[in-house]
Amino acid sequence: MKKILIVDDEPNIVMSLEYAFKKQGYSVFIARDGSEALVIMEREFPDLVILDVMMPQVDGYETIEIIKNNPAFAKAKVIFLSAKSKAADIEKGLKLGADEYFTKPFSVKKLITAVDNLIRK
Amino acid sequence: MFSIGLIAFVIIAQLAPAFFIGLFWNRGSAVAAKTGIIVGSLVTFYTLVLPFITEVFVEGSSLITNGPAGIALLKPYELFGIDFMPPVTHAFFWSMVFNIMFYLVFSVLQKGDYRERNYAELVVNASSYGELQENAFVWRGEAYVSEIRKALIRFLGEKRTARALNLFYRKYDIDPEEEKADARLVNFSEKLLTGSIGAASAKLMISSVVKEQPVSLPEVLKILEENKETITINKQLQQQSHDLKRLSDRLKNANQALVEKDRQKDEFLDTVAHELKTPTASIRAASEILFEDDDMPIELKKKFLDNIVNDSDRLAALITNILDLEKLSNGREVMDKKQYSLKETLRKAVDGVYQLALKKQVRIDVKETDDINLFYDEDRILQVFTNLLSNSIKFVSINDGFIKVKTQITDESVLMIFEDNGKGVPQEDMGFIFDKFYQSNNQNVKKPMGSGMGLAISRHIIESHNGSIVIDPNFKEGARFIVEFKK
Repeated sequence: MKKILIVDDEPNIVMSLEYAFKKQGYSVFIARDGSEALVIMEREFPDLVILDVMMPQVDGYETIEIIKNNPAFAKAKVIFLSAKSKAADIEKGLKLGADEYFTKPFSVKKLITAVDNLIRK
Repeated sequence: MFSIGLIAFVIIAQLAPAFFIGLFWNRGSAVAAKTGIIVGSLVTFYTLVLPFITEVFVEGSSLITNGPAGIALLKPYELFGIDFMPPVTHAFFWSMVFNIMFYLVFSVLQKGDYRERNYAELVVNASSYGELQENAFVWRGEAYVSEIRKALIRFLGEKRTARALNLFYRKYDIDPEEEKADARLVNFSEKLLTGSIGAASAKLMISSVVKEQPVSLPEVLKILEENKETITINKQLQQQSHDLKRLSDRLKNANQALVEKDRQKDEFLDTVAHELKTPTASIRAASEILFEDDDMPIELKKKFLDNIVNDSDRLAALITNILDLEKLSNGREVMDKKQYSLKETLRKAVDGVYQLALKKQVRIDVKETDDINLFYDEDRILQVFTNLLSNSIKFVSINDGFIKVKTQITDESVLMIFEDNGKGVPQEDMGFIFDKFYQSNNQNVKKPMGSGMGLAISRHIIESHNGSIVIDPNFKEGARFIVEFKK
């Protein structure tokens, strides 16, 4: 079973995503910020990380940099899911190595499709 | 006596030739006139004064009878052998002859400078004065067309000079190949230059290319006057440019302030948009899942719906706060001030957060003090107190949370002190907590939930009551907010 790590500090959004991806047959892990996410990654080595940008403690940008610099997480795909929707923000996210960038509010269905395309094949 | 009178007449008569001839002859020059007068006077002295004096002192002087050194031709009373005139007539005759002769010869031999000749012309042909002004350069000596052209080019440029000269040549029908410039060209050039460099300077410029042209004192004074005028105008211009610079500086500052305001507005809108997006995203995701998933257990379904309701409330609160804050910061909100009991208002605020406090087991201790009545908008002040209390409840830990409210009444003011034993405000955030959206100001790091506008709104409300709200930076056990009302 493919593993997905959802990193977001909004409990309601996390709840929706957790439900939706579990239903799609993924194994879902939850972290409330970057530092929690890294702990879980060390343990679970997820196939994909859905990453918010604005979070307490370690933010999304810092988190992806750590992920991309650690060869142990080489296979992990990253999707940014953020309310930051300016062109510069999106560009920054993709430059840091994200595979996709979704802006809030987002379509759950489209997010699932993107995840499927990245790791189901 | 009679003789002395006649001698004086003959001497004075020496002035006559230069005067009368000068009136009608414009070639008469000053040097020639002076020479004539001096020579005439000398002749008078020799033929009249000298023998007269000698006769008085020496009876039968040989100078008169035999001439100086025995030269008969030079006998003072019979000069050049003319012996048929009485002494005075004789002296008058010879002095006039020499006077007039020297005057004429010198005048013809030596030209006066142009200025002298101009004046001479003015005296002789006074009737055609106007015309003379026009052709004042007739006597200014020589000039070469090429030099005048050079001077013109320097100030007017190649094209304009060529065009002007062509016009000039055509107008007066002059051969353009002519080397020597005539008076009209000189005059014309001066007029041309006047347009560019001023009349006196133009004159000076042209005189410098026209040969042997002294510049007179009046001309120099005129130039100085012109320069003085130019300097005055320059000073005025300088002053004006100074004023303009100051004005443009002020405009620049105003513009900078506007740009800063604009940036703040942009940032505000950006943050507003961002703050609105999170609950919207949450509502959208939950709704989408509920819509797609028909076989969701009823318990879970209720949970999702509950989330949607909460997020909608959050969204509504956010919008209300944004509008509220904008209204307050624009000064559009009018406070409905009446006399209220501060103690009563505080009690209402504590009652309002009672449920919230109970949920977290937070103790709220209001210290009993004398009541005081103040003028304020109760709803708004209640909003401030509620905001401070609920902030405290938010930041204290469950079960041992503690909030203390004290009232201090002094002669001028009333202090309301709100203390809690929560985690307090980080030192680096102290300066920003009353800014709107201060939560999200710290870049990508989000602080605990809330609209981030409560304190900003509170500050506006308190300031609308001429009071102040501050955080005590020295209070380390938690957070301590002090609200001050003026009595």
